[in-house]
Amino acid sequence: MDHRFVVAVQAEEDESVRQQQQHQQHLVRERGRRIKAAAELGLARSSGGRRWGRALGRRALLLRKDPATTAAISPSVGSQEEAKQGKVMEAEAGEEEDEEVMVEEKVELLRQLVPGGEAMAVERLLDETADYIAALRAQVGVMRALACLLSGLGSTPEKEASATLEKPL
Amino acid sequence: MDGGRAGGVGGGDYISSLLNSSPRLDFGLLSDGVVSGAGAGGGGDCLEKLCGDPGFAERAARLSSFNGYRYGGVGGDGGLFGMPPPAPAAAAAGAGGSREASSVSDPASAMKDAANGKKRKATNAKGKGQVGEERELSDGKRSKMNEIDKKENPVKPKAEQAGSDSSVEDGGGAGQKQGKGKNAKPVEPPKDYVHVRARRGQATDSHSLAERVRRERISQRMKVLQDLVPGCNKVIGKALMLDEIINYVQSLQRQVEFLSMKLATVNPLDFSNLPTLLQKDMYQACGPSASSVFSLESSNSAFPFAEQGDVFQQFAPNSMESQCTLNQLDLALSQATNGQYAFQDGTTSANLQQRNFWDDDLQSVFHLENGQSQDNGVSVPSFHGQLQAGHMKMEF
Repeated sequence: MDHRFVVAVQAEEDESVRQQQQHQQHLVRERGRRIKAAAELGLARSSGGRRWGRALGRRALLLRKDPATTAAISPSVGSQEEAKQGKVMEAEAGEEEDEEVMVEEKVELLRQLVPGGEAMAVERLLDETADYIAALRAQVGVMRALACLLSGLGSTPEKEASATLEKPL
Repeated sequence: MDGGRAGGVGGGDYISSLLNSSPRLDFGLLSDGVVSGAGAGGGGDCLEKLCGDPGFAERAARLSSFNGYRYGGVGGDGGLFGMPPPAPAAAAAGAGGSREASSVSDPASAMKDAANGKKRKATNAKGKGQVGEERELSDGKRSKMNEIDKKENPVKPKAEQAGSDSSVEDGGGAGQKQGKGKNAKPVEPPKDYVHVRARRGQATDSHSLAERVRRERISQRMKVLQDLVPGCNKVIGKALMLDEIINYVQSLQRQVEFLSMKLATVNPLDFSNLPTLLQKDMYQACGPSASSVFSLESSNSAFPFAEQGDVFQQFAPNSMESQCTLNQLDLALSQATNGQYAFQDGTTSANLQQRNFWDDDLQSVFHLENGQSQDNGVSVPSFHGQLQAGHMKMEF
């Protein structure tokens, strides 16, 4: 009887540990999502009023509230993409594969990548892309330094990170 | 609207971006008015950057006579000088190559921004519409320019920096004659103002001109992007460069995603790491990286909105402070967690409890709706009560 009892207790403990692990993983994912949303918000605020910043801010605010809303958002984006690709396909079939068509495709891709890019002319899109890239790089640098610092890695990576941060400033 | 605007006023934009850079170099008299009027340290920075570039001096010489008109445009744009975010952002993007890029992109982006900005839209659209017409006629007499100048004048007061504009107008009006007198030295006799020089054998009708200008603008921006995206120099051609750009943007976004996950898993209360470092090193590392991240954050938040996003920027310095001070708590906490399971439930894993606690704090940070602040209020006192560790500053 003791043996069975012990086994039963063991099973319970295992079960609870597993649950805890799952719970932990879920927590971690939740935290990651929230961190990412906060990072995007910070990025958006630092954009200085650019279009991509505002669009990103809107998106990040939604993300923060609810993962369900992101699921609602993405299908619309996906359908947009499909529609545009359909149009491009038709054009391609009509003409030969022109360079312009390829360029157009890529511009479409870029539109989806850069937040708020759907409703912009190409020139403006390129402009916003440049700004967005610069801000993203800064963001990555900051987050990397932060991660290094918080995870308590050696001073060398931190100094490198801080050096890369200081140098352009 | 963008297309129409581009067609009508494309030349004005492009050349004016060149002009905006040029006057700052030579014409101390006139440029002073603009710089002081426009204010902002960004103006000084731009000056320094552009002074170093001989190409701009050349263009300044060629298009010198248009100062007077263009100052109105510059004053109206205003934002050209006072654009701190693009400058540090572009600077943060990379060392030497970005210098040119930022100086190019500043006028270009600032022109774009100014043109598309809500407040300045009306002003610039009107002014540039007239510019465009002038160019397309390509008649260019001085009288016409004066006409445009006068038309521009009533429009200018609406511009943002009205004070600078009025001073600039006077400078511009007077400066036209002066400017031409002064700048008769460099090569050409003052033609008209801004028009795109048609190359030999190329059609000069308005459509192809507009088209060409548009293409030039796009290629100009592609050059800017080329400087930003590493490894784009080898590639030539729009499609391939766009490919590179897309890949780069995607990789950056993925990095952000990955880093945010990593930040989620990193456990700041995991004190097993800390003993491995000398405490001295930790403080030293905290110092410079704290200051650098501080300065980066402050440059990023140049437009303080005082909203939730700023919290993330504030979170970094706070966490670093807490990290530094946590060093002192290292031993105490490890003893405490080993000894007592300091929190409400008695679960087997103290770490789990710590993580949950930290999670609550993180929640309170990121959900600034303050619905969760009560949780923070609840959990912190219990923690403090258990440990009696006064200098665990979790300032959220």
